[in-house]
Amino acid sequence: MSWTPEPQALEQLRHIFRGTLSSNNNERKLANEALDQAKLQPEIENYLLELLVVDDSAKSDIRAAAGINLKNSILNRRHQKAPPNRSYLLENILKGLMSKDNMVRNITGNVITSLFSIYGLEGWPQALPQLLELVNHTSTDGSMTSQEAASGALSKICEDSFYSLDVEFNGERPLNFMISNFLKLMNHPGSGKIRANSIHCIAQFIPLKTQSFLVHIDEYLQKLFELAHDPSREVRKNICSSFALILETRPDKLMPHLDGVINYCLHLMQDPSEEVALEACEFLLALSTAPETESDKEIFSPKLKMILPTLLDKMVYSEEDIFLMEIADSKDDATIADKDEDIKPLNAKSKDIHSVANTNSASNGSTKKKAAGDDSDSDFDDDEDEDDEDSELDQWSLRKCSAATLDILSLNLPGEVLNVTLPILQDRIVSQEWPVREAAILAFGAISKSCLELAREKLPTLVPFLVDRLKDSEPRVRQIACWTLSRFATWIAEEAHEGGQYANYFQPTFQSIVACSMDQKKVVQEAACSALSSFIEESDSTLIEYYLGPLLDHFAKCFQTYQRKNLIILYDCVQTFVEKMGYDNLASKPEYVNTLLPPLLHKWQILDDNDTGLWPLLECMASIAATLGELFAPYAVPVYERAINILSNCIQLDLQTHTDPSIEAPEKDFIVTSLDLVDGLIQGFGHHSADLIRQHNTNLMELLMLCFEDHSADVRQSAYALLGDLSIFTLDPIVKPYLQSIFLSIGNEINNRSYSTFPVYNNAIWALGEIAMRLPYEEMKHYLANLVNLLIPVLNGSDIQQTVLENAAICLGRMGLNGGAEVISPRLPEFIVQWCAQMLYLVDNSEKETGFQGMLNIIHGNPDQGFGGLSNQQGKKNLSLFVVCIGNYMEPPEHLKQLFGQFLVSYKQLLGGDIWDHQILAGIDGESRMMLSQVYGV
Amino acid sequence: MSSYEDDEALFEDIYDDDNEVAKEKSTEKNNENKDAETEAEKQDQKPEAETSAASVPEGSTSSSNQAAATATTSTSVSEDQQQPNLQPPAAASQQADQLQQTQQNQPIGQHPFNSSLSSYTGQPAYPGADPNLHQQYPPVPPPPQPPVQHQPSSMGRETGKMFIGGLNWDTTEEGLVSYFSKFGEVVDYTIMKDNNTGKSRGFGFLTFRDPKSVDEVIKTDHILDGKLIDPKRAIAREEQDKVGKIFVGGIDPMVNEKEFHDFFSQFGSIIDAQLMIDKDSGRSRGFGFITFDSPDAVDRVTVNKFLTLKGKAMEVKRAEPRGQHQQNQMQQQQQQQQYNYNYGNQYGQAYPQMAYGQQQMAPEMVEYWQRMQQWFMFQQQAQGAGGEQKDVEQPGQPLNPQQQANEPEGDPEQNSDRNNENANDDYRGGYDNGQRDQRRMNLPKGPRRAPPSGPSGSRGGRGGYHKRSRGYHPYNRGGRR
Repeated sequence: MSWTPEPQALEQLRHIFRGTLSSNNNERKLANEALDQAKLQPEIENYLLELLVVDDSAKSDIRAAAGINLKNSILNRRHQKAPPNRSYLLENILKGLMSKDNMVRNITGNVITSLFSIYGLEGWPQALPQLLELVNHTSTDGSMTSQEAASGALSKICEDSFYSLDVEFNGERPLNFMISNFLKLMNHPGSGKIRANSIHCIAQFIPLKTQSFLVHIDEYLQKLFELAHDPSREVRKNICSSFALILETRPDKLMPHLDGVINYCLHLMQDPSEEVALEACEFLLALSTAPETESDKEIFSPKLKMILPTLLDKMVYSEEDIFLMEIADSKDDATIADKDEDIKPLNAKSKDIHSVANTNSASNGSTKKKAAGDDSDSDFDDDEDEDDEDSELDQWSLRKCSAATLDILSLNLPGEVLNVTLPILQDRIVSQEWPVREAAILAFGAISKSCLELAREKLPTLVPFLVDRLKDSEPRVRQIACWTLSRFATWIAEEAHEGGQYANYFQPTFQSIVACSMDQKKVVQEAACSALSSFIEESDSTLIEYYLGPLLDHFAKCFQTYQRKNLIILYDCVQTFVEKMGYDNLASKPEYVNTLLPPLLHKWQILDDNDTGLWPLLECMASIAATLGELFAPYAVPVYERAINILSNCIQLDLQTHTDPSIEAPEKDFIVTSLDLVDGLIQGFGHHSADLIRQHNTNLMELLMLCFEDHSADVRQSAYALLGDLSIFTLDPIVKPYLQSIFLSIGNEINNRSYSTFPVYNNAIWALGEIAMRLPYEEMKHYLANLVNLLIPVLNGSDIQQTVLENAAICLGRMGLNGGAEVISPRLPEFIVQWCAQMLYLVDNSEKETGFQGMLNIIHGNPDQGFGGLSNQQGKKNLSLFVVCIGNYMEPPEHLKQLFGQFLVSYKQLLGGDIWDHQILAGIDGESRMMLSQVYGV
Repeated sequence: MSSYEDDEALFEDIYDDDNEVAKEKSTEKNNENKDAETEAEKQDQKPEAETSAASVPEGSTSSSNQAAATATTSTSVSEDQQQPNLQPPAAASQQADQLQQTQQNQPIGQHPFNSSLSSYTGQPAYPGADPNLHQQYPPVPPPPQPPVQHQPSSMGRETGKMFIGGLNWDTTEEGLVSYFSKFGEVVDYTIMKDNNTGKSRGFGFLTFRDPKSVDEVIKTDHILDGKLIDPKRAIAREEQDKVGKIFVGGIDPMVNEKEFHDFFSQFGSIIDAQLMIDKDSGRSRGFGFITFDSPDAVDRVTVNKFLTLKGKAMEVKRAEPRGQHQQNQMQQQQQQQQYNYNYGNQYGQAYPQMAYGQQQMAPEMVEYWQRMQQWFMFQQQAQGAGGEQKDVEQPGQPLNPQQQANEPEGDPEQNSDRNNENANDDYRGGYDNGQRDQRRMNLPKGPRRAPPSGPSGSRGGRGGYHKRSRGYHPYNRGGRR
């Protein structure tokens, strides 16, 4: 198609663009309005193309602006019923790649990729061949720019559209042609970029396992090896990533060359470019986690002598890291606030413009707000402040990758790893140079599992040494010593609890860690507080009880000094501690609660409702409220009220954002944590919760119903958790009026499940069970059939998480408690097998009890066919399964025991002793049989 | 326009990354290590960086050594001359004239890339490198013309006005004056205060009778009331309109203030260059501001959204007074998207490679479809059952899951666009737009990123709060890559 621009129109457009780049506000405003008008013209895209690609007289930034607008126009119209005729555009866009102007080339590449994503092979068949031609042609002036630009465009197309390219088109597979071409281009003599891009292009197709690639895999590998010493860093990096991809999809192809590949990667780990070195290490990490290598030790064992020293070397902080750290640490002071408040006044003001939820980077990876159009309002300072928190030192790096690799290797090959590393480490750990001893301590932590398994005799000397290092003059050494000690916490705690030879290690270790959590340096505080959490978790509660009082005092002190970042860890520590100690311990002396609560309540008061620092605090308080029960009563009302207020406000705001894009949605965690706090209060107050809820005029249930529909899985997860507890303690007064909607929501949740939402529907199923066992049949029966319809496939599902399966079984059982057998019994054969499998090994508790009790009712409603018919083999087998469950149920409560007894006796009578012994009991293990015989006399 | 071809040549040099930058990086790394200590010292001594006057000083000046081509800002009316709004074509040619003017006066300066190139002899400059790595080194193209470096601007030298930042909150005007009187007679002074609270905002202005006093002041560091303060020469208001300010982000931490200044002086005369330093650690915070004496320079530099210095791509944006924000947003958004896909949502919001199963109706989908049908029947029954239906909508025709499944998936760029523009496309069902209706209709949700939180034991209920950092771990892959 041919087309020529009208010179006047073109000039006008140029003029408009110039205006949009003007420094004069008014001019810009007018120009942008004009631009909006222009964009409505039918041929605007061609004009934009002209400016971008053809018009060398236009300024670079104008062409760039035109290009960007063109790209956006294309993307914005992708769903239009009748997109504009783009034949001219498609025919001519590639010319932009040949421009002398780099910006034009770049933007052209983007436009091409956008176009291809829409038109694909079918809509734009010439795209790929033309691009390839362009890459391959030789310029007269020897420059590579257009070839590189084309190569870059291809690279992105392959990245974005790899799946849709693996098709047949017009009788052939374009991939065949493309891959052959890329293979040749891997040897492009003039441009490292082209070589690197070509590798990258092919690599995109590896995960597809398409024949088009597989026929070339040997050649590809061969070339990768040949390029091993390529001067271009990008090439070397892409080689490593390709190896990793091949390892994932066709490890068998890699195995014959594995020796060479490992050597190559080890060599590249010494590459001056950390990017390359990291990529090489990533391959080794992937290799060590690959299932093939796990089982085949032969692969790794011989290479360990080479690999491990390299890993250990690279775990030492680099010179650059050391430089940064020494500066950072010398200024690090525990008394200095984490945020630099007295920054330029301009920025301080603009922070207030955004909702506070935007800033305050205490939680870095927080969920993005989907407020329309608001994203780029992000003040660059917000980004920078976040960058500050997540500094260079916190990023994934060669050191971290090496440590992770060492960790995995030590899990898989503990003996070999120890053999090689121990001598080295024992030497290095006493080095005068702090980075060397730091890395050695890190390594000991990484291999801790193998030490615990095979080198326990080293621990009695290692642990005291590490405890000593908690007083090292270097903060980074203290930091890592905390962590490594936490990796050995199980041993230390066990020795103490079981009165082993080294039982006396616990005290000094624990106390030193506690002391370290008041270290002057925040980085050390952080590590020590985390280690403290680990120790508390790993130790038997009697060990910790000994420190109950002092720890409470210690926490109170920490609350006074800890800054934002470490506060989060502190909350977690307190929560772990409180859960470990439990009600009895904490209630034993009134001063305990009086030491524990005031600092938390202080924080509660000073943080306002918009502060993200509330989140970990609310979580901590939830746990405390649940544990302390009525001891928390004096604070219950105000705490509940505030939680409800936050919940209510956030939900309102959230709803409003759907209709009003100018409002910024609050972060979901406000809702999540306030739900959790209410849940904690309910758990703590049990049946008294109804009063607490009713005295406040906001309707909790209404809010909860809204939460069930929230998009965020986290919100729904907490909502169902709360529902369950409400159903346990306040079913009649609070929950009942909403049953219908509740059942609908639960049903939806189960029905719409996907793999990653399992915590949500797990909670929903659990809540359902709690309701079902307390609800009279009359009120339930209407929904029962359909709910059962949903549950049975879950129980029988193949890709379902363990906890979900257990909860589903319990729920189904419980549904039988109040008359549900009517509906469920006929369907028993569909799920009896799975049910038994899930219930067999459950811990003896009330859930198990109620599950079985209900199940007995269900069986009673269908005693023969329920098992599949007792006259045939399958039926008998199934009965066996159930009997085994009884046999494994160690301590059923008395009434259940009676029921079991009746059950067993009746079936034995029904079938006759002969069949009973030889067909039912036959398949059951000895221990269970003994139990059955002793307890039930069968 | 010949002047722009020169500029383009500059940019080509900058973008000619692979070989050049690789070489550079290696030599620079070595240099860095040697310079490490001296740089640390330097950084410690640097005065605290603050924004320079976004708030406008009073006062007039008649100095202006260049033809003022740009119009005034619409936000404030200057008491002095009012610049007429010029027609854009006139402005363009004036800008071109200016450029030629400035270029004629400039000596050839040092180009940061140049030095490292010329020192590179083709031998490995880093320890432990394999000399064989360079066997096949392609021929190095001749280094391009070093770009023109502009002299520091002489704006503002006619008055004795200074902007003083970094003041202690408690510093009073009396204290300020008495401190600076050492350098000369102070004729005017003020400390900016918050209108609501009356508290000091930590910066102020001071005018000396003798402009030379300003020179004296900026020669040394100053500590007032225990705080290291940051005095600068101030630019008059009219001049404000003529200046152009840019924000620069993503600066390599190894870049020091001099390098920062020198790098950007190739685009125009710099009035002020400010590299933000963390006053606790003394190291660069990775961003800064440059004030040029003309908006053209800003045009020149912002032609590229990214520039490379010391191997790191820096982002350059116009720094506007807040009123401009909205208009800039669109442009910035557009520009942002262009580069966004480059750094791609490969790691960010990339969906798992679930594209595979979607082209035909997989068996799981069949099962799912049947389930959905059953569920619909239940919903209809439930409606019939209960009295009031508060929230149950009439389920419409269930959408054909196959239809939905056919939407192509793997385009990260478009996803970022979706997120930015809140597009109406409904591929992901009820996930992105907020309509409860869609959820009621059991539309499949898109793949999620939330990691499972692992409900504990057989107790069902456990909340959805993910503790972001479960404490310190030295090699968690939580950080950015």
